Amino acid sequence: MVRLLLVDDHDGFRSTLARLLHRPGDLEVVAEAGTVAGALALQGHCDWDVGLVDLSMDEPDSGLELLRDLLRQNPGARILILTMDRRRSRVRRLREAGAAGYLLKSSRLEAIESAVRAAAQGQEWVESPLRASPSPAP
Amino acid sequence: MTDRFLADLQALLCLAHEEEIREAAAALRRSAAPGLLPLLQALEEVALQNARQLQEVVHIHEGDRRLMLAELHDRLSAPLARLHLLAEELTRSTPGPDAQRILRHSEAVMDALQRFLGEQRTVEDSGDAAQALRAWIDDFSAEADIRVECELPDDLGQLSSVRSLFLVRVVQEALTNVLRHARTGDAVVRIQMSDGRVRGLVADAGPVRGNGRVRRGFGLRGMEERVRFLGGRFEFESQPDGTTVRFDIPGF
Repeated sequence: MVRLLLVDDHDGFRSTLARLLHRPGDLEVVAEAGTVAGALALQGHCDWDVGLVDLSMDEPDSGLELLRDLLRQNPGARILILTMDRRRSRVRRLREAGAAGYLLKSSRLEAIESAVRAAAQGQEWVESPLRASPSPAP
Repeated sequence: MTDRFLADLQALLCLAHEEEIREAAAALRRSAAPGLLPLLQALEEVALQNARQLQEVVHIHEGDRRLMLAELHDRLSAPLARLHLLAEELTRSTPGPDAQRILRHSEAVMDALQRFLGEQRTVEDSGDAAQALRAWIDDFSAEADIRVECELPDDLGQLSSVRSLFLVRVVQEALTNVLRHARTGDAVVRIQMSDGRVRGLVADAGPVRGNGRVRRGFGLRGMEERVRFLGGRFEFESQPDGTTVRFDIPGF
């Protein structure tokens, strides 16, 4: 079973996603946080396999900072970014920072679940509309 | 006072950038009678004050724009994302064509909002117009599936912050127009800096969607206003076989 940490500052979205990702024996949200500090405070108190982290919480790139902090605490952590931001430059930046994958909030649940399972197995995942390589900058 | 001196004095008061004002005032001082120097000094101060206020207005406007996008993200995107999850839940709890239709619409709304936020997001806050534009064009090109042939001078970073910001905005808007109005997978962005001027072109060779002409809407007006604010010339040409935006801005 994959244990999930869910971090998003919008309670309604977070609680709905946590409920829908509840798959007994397969997936389970074992911890939730609405802030970067809240997520960091969980470390050491709660074991999770994959983190699902919103990119823009109280600050535009707070998810990126959280990703770095979580990886500093646990270099083997598998963290997926969940966002409204479709920019390829963001996808690249987050993957370079060590994200295990990048999902849009318009993703189907099936895609989120697949991404979580892939991340738990050490694979990378990028949402299909964002997979194409951008043309190189001139 | 000669007519030429008066015309130069009038031009000084219309300048919007500190360096230009100081240069123009210094040139006027060289040809002014000694008795006019205190007046010239006072007028230079007025022109500088106006320029600073204009700069402030531009930055306030930009701040408002960022705030509006942040609010849009916070107040609209999260509830919509939740609604989208609930629509998907509905397709599971009550399968059928109605639930599927709701889910498809919710996906379309989320998609439109994500694209809009991506288009409107300004550049990374690097302060370097060339770097900012390249990053934005890179994202735009991938997202819109439009290949952008791009020529930017390396010294674009020398531009003042207002010029730099407006230049980025004009190119953003012109390329967004290509996506909205042209049936094409190719566009060109060419910017050159020489002889104290910044000259730019954004063009496509695609047939215009709809009735074959681009309507003069807010986007076009915004581009023109920005270029004119910088004392530049703006040209827009829309033909059935393509659209071209040209601008020519004085000073770096």
